[in-house]
Amino acid sequence: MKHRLLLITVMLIILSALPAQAHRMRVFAYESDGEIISEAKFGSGRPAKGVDIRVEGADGQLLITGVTDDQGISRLPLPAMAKEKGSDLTIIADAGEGHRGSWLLTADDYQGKNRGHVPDSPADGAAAPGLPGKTQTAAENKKQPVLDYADIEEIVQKSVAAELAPVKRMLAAEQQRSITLQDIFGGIGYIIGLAGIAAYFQTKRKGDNR
Amino acid sequence: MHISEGVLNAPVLLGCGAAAVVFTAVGLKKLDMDRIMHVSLLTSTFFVASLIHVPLGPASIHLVLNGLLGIVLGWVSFPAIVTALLLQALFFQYGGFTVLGVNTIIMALPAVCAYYIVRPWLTSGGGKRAVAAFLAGFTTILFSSILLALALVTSDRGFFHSASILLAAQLPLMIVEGFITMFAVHFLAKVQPDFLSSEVYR
Repeated sequence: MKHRLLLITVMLIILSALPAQAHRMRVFAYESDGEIISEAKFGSGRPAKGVDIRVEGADGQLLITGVTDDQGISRLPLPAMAKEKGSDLTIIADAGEGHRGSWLLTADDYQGKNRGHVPDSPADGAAAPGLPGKTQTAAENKKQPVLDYADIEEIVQKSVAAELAPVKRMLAAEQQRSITLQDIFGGIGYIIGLAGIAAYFQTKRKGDNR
Repeated sequence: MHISEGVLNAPVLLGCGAAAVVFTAVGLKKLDMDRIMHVSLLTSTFFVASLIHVPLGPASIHLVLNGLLGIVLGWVSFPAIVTALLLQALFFQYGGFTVLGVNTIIMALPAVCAYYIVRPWLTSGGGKRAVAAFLAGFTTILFSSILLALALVTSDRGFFHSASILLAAQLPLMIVEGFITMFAVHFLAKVQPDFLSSEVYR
């Protein structure tokens, strides 16, 4: 028994020294400036290079395919069909050899809630007295280009999207749970526990026979 | 070594699932309850082995250790491996539930073969035992890779593509597992010889 415990202890010491990792394909994706950016990694965090990326619509039809680069990143244009319909996209990374991962990019993720919808109330005419451009002549307008509400909105959206891209990336990456020590110990505990249950029923049966 | 969900088609999944159920039943029948702790220790070893990565060149490989399980447990490798794979799918998202049968066959069938081929040599000591243990580790991974490639025939890539990639990628693993199995058997023979005593599992 002492030796067995020693064996387990040695095994666990080796384990804890190594980062927990595996050949699990992890993929996550987010939208940035009209592109679907997918990152594929193996469980170890090593980028999955040259892996096929497939983007499928809600009904499982193939919309667009690509291949990851050296960083395991693939940039694909957002399919027009998906944009119109607002359907959820499934991004699948397939490394062959049976390793495959998928990520659901919902319509909410890639369509900003207000995108394409221009609110009209404060923009027009008298509602914007602070903007001198509205009352100036066309000639003056050419010299000094004036931004109307829609332009400003577009600029803001663009810069916000640019600022948010790394945040979206982080959030997406965060959702890919990695293996913790609790998982490992938990699993070992389950296995020993199952053996214990089996042994218990065995002794009970033996006891009944007597 | 773990096939992910959604790669294989239904007939392969169902066929392998049914075969895995039958083989696991055989394993459970052969299980000697007095040895249940041996089984659970080896199941735990298999369960955590997949987390141990050996970096090799551009890729890294993880241990499987089904050869070690095979020579010690024989048919009981099936219930042991199916349990470990189920927990790996639960905790680590390796493989998955629909592919449990396929993955079990891929890893446990070669283990049982190793038991029949190599086990008789293990009771003899010294160099013969070391060679036998190495071969058990080596050939089990080889056989597993071939089974894996066969399973992937049904996927879009085709057998030769998969097989060539897999065999090239797994060759270092075969050697590593061979040595680890050799050392493990040596260690067991020294400190727990009853692990290796013959006629334990009928």
